[in-house]
Amino acid sequence: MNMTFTALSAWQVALIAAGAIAALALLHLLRRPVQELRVVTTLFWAQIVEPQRARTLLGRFRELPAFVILAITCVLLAAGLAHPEWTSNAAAVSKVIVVDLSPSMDARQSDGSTRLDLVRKTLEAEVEALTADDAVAVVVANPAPRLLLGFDQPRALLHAEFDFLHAGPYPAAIHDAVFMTRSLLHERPNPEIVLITDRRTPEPRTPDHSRVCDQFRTVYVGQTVPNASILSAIYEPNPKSPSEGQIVFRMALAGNESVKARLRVHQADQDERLLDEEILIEPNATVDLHTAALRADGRKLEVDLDVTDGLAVDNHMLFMLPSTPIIRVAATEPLPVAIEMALRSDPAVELTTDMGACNVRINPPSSWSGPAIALRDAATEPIQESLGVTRALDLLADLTFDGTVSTTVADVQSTQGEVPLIHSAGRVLASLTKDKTSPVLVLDSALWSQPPYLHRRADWAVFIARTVRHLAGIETTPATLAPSDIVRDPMWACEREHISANITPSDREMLDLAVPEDAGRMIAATPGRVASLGLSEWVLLFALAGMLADLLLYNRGRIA
Amino acid sequence: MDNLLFTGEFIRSVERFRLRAGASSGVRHAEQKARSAGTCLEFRDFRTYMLGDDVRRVDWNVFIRTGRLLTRRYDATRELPLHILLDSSDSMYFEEPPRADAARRVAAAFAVIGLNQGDRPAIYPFGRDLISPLKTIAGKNALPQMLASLSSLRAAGATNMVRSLQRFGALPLRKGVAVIVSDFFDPAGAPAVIEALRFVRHRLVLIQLTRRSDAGPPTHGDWRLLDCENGRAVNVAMTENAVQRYRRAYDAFNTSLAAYAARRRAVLFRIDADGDVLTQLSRLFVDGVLSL
Repeated sequence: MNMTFTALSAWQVALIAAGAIAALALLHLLRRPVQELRVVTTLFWAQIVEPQRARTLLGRFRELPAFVILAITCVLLAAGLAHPEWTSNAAAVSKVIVVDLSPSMDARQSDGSTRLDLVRKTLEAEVEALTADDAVAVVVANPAPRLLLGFDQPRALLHAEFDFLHAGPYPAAIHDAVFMTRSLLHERPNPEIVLITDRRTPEPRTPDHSRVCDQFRTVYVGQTVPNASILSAIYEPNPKSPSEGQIVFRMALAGNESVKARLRVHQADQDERLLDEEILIEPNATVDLHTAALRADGRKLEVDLDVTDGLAVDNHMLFMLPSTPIIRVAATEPLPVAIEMALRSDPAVELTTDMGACNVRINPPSSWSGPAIALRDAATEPIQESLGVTRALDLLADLTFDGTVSTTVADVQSTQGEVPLIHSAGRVLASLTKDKTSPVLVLDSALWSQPPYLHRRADWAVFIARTVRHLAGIETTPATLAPSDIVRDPMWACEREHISANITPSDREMLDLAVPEDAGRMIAATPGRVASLGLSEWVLLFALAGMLADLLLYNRGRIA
Repeated sequence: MDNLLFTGEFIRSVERFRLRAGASSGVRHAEQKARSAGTCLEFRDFRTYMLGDDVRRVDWNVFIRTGRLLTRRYDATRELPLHILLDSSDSMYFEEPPRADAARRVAAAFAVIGLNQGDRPAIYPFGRDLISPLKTIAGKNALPQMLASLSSLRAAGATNMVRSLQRFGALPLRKGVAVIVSDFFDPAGAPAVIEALRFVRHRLVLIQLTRRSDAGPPTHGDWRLLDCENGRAVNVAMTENAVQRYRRAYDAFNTSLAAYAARRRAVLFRIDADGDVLTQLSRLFVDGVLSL
C-alpha cells in the first residue's frame, strides 16, 4: 500500500513539517535563561520537585523529550491536514458508470427524495471510492445514451453535470448504453462497468451485459412502492363521424394492494372538466376510461391521475387532439400504387385493413353502404384526346395537372346520379356517384396506367385528398388543399407531449412502469465512510494524542 | 577577652545563667547535685545514728530535745558532663553573616555556663564527621582558650549529621547533657536525623539555628537552586503553589523535630541567626535557669 496526500503534495507536506520543526528549534534555542541561586540546602525542594524538570511554558522547550514530542506532533498535524490516503498497489481501474435516467427516476421515496437523488448519491459514492490512479467515465441514458464524462476529463466536471441530470421522457435505452461502453473501454486496463438503475427485471430480449465486460455490477436504487400510472392514451375516431372521436385512457397499478385514483381531463388553461372520474385499480390490472366524443380540433388537453394512497409516476400528461379528422380508408386488396401513394400523402387518411372501423372502403362488397372508392379497371383503350375536367364540384378547382388537363368546362354526358369529374372524348374517367346513401368515387385505371400519367402530378394527390374528405363527409365544402398545404399541415407538427394516436398495443408494454417484483425493499446507495475513519483522520488522532501526552507530562511536572 | 564573636559583655551576661540537669553522675564536686549523699554543706536529711558514723555529724540539739541520736546527711554536688555538639558544616558558614557565628556564640554561652558551675564542658564540632572535641579544664581560666578555639573553627565539610551523632553516641562518655547546636539540615532528611539522635544517650538540648529565608524562598521566575554543600541542582519554576508546598515541607520538618523533642523530653529551642543571641537565650533560661 502506498500513501498519497490528496490535499497537499508530498513536497508541501515536507515543507510544512520542516517549517514547524524549525520554529520549534528556534524556540528551543531562544529558551529563557534560568536564574541560578546557591542556597543553604535543597533538602525541601528535592522533596517536592523531581530534579531536572522544566516548569514554565517556554522552559518545556528546553527539555529534549518535550521538544521531540512537540516536533512529532507538528509533523503528524501537517500530515493529517494533507489528507493522506492509502492507495492500492494493484493496477489502476477503468470504470464506466452507466446511469439509467428513465421517467421512473422522478418517483418520490417515502422520505420525500426522488430516485434521482439516490442516483446522484450512488454516482458520487462510486466516484469517491476510486483512487487517484483510477479512470472513470459516465454514460447516461435519457433515453438515448450520452457520454456525460469521458476518461480524459477531470472528475470535478462531474459535479457540475449533476445539476443537469434529469429523468427523460421515455424509457432509457440501457442496453444500448451498456454496449456503448465497449468502445470506451477498448484497450483500457482493468475495465469495470457499473449500472445504476431502478429496473429490477430486464426487458425482453435484453442481452447478457456481462458479455460486454467481466466486471459488471448493477446497483439498484429506489423503493419498490405501489405505483399507479397512465399507461396509454389513444384517440379513437368515430367510425360514423371521422371529425370526432374519444380518447381512451388505460391506467395500471404496480403494487400489492388496490388503490383509489381519480382521472381528470381538462382543456389546457381552462377549468372545464372533460373527464373526472374516480376508479379503483386492482394490483397488476388495468382500467380503461374514455372521454365523451371530442372534435378533432387540435386542442391541448391536460390529463392527471391523482392517487389517494401510494406514489404515482407517469401520472400527468398533455394530450393534443388531432387537428384534422382521421379518415380510415380500408381496402381488402392491394391497391394500385397511384391510389396508395395518393391516399398516404394525406395526413388525415389512415389506411387500414380493419373493415369494421373504417370510414371509406375501396371496392367494398355490396353490403357496404358507406362511402367508397371504386376502382374500375376499364378496357385498356388508350386515351386519344386531351383530358378535361368539369367544374361540377370544387374538388378539381384550380387543378391543372401541370397543363395536362384543360380547364375547359364542358358538358359531359353522364348517367343519372353520376357527377363526372375527369373525362376524355366523352369518356368519364373519374366521377362521383351516389350509390345507395353514400357517395362513391369511381376511378378508371386509365388515369394512372396510361399517359399522361396524372398520378405523377401533385394535383392528383390533392384531388384524391379532397375527394376522400368529401366522401367521409368531413367538409361539405372540401378544403382547397394546395400541394404545398399537404406538407405544411399541422398534423405533421412534432409535438411530443402526447402519446401518439397511432400507438399499438405492443407499444404499451414498452411504457415505463415500476415493477414490484419484491415489494418493500429499498436498495440504499453505496454506504459512505461516515462510520469509518480514513487515514487522515487517524493521523490527526495520533497528533491529538501527542498533544494530550505533552499536556499530561507538562501537568505532571508542575509543582502544583 | 574581647573578640569579634564573643564580647566581654556577652560573656558577663551569660555567666549569670545556670543549667540544672537533675542528679548528675559527675565525679567532681560542682554545683550539680549528685545522686548519692556526700559531705557537701547542703543539708539533706537526718538518719538514725549507726555504729561507725562520724560523731561530729550527730545533731546534739535533737538529742537534747528528743533523746534520740540522729546524724545529719548532706547533698554531694558533682560536676555536670556537658557536651556541646557544634554544627560546623559548610552550610553553617555559607551565608553572610554565617549561622556559624550565632552557633558559636550559643556554644560559648553553654560553655561559660558550664565553667561557672564548675563543670568541664566539651565542644564537639562536626561537619562531615565528628571532629576532635574542644575540651576544657575546670575553672574560668579555661574560658579564653575555649573561646579562642571556637573563634578559630572553620567549615568542616558537607553536613553528615547522622554519622556525627552516631560517632558521638559511641563515645564512652559519662551521661550528662548534650547540647546540639545546628540547623539540622542534613541531606538525609529529618527522619534520619531523628533516628540518629537516638544514639545520643544524654539529656538533650536542641538549639536549632534558623533564618527567615529558610521559610521564604525567592519567588517568581525559573530558578536553578544549587545546594551550597554538594552542588546538587534543582530546577524550580517559582509559583505560588510551589512556595506553599515548600513551606509545608519546611513546617513538616520543624514539626517532626519538635515532636521528637517532646517525646524525648528534650529541650528544642530555635534561635534566629540574624537576631541577638543573648536576648534569645534569656528566653530559654527562665529566671536565669534552664532546668532539664
